[in-house]
Amino acid sequence: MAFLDWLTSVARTRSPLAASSTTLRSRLINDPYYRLQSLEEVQLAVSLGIKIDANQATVDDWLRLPGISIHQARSLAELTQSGVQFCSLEDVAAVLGVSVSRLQPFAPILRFCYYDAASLVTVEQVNPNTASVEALLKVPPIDLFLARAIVQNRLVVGPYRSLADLQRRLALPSAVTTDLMHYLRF
Amino acid sequence: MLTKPKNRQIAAALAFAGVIVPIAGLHKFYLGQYRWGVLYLLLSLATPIPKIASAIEGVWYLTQDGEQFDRKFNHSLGSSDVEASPRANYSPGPTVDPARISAIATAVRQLDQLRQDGLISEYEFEQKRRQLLDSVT
Repeated sequence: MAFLDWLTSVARTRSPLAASSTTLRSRLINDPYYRLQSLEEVQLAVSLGIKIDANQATVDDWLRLPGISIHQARSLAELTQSGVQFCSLEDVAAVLGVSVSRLQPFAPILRFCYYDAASLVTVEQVNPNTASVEALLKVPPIDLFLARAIVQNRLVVGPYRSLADLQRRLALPSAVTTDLMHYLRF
Repeated sequence: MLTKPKNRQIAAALAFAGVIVPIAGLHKFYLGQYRWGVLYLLLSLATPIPKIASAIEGVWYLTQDGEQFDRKFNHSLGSSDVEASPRANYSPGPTVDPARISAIATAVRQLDQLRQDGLISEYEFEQKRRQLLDSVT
């Protein structure tokens, strides 16, 4: 047993780089939020099969890429949530206002999938803090009365913080809130 | 005598007393080892062996640390009795500094403000918040 320990310790001292790469590997696998520090780590993540779906990525997903700032990540995430589709790296580069060559190292880790807007799976979300009555009426569970109540309450009290806040302020029945859940984004 | 936790110093003093006084084995009675006590008493009337043994045990009681002594002689007692003992292995919880708590509360509020301003993501906010709270304990 002691001999085995000694062997492993020798192996560890022989290759500190390999040891650190195994810890990094396990972190990459186990921590979905791990922020990649360098392009080398991006390569390793790609080799482990980690992908970032550009059209589904949240702020935290974008922040995993080295060099992406919080403002860039937020603008990208807001655009995709409002229904903008990124088809290629050039689209992302155009949004960020940088050259494509700058983003080229991220090409292997980014996926550009097509999501059909007309499909039943993809749901168009509206933001009740900015949407007009007409926009709210496009959401199936919202009728004219509820749309007007949402806008009226927003103008009087202020923006809604979350779905729970909206339910409390409008005294919505839970069944209605359940229907609204997938259509609203705050 | 039975319910009170055994004190190391008293046991050692009784053991050394056994060396000086013609009767040895008092410390064994004190520690609740009555058969040994009787044996020491009977032997001490005839031979010097119990005196030597008492001296050795007195030194031993003083040199071993309180935890070992408690484990050996106070194990049958309830925890409340052990806590009452001066040598009990009881450490009070970490004292919470109100100024520190208020500083951390302010830091968390500022973090939340940053989150609302969109300068840190939800994940970063939660990680920092947990770090701050873990630094209290």
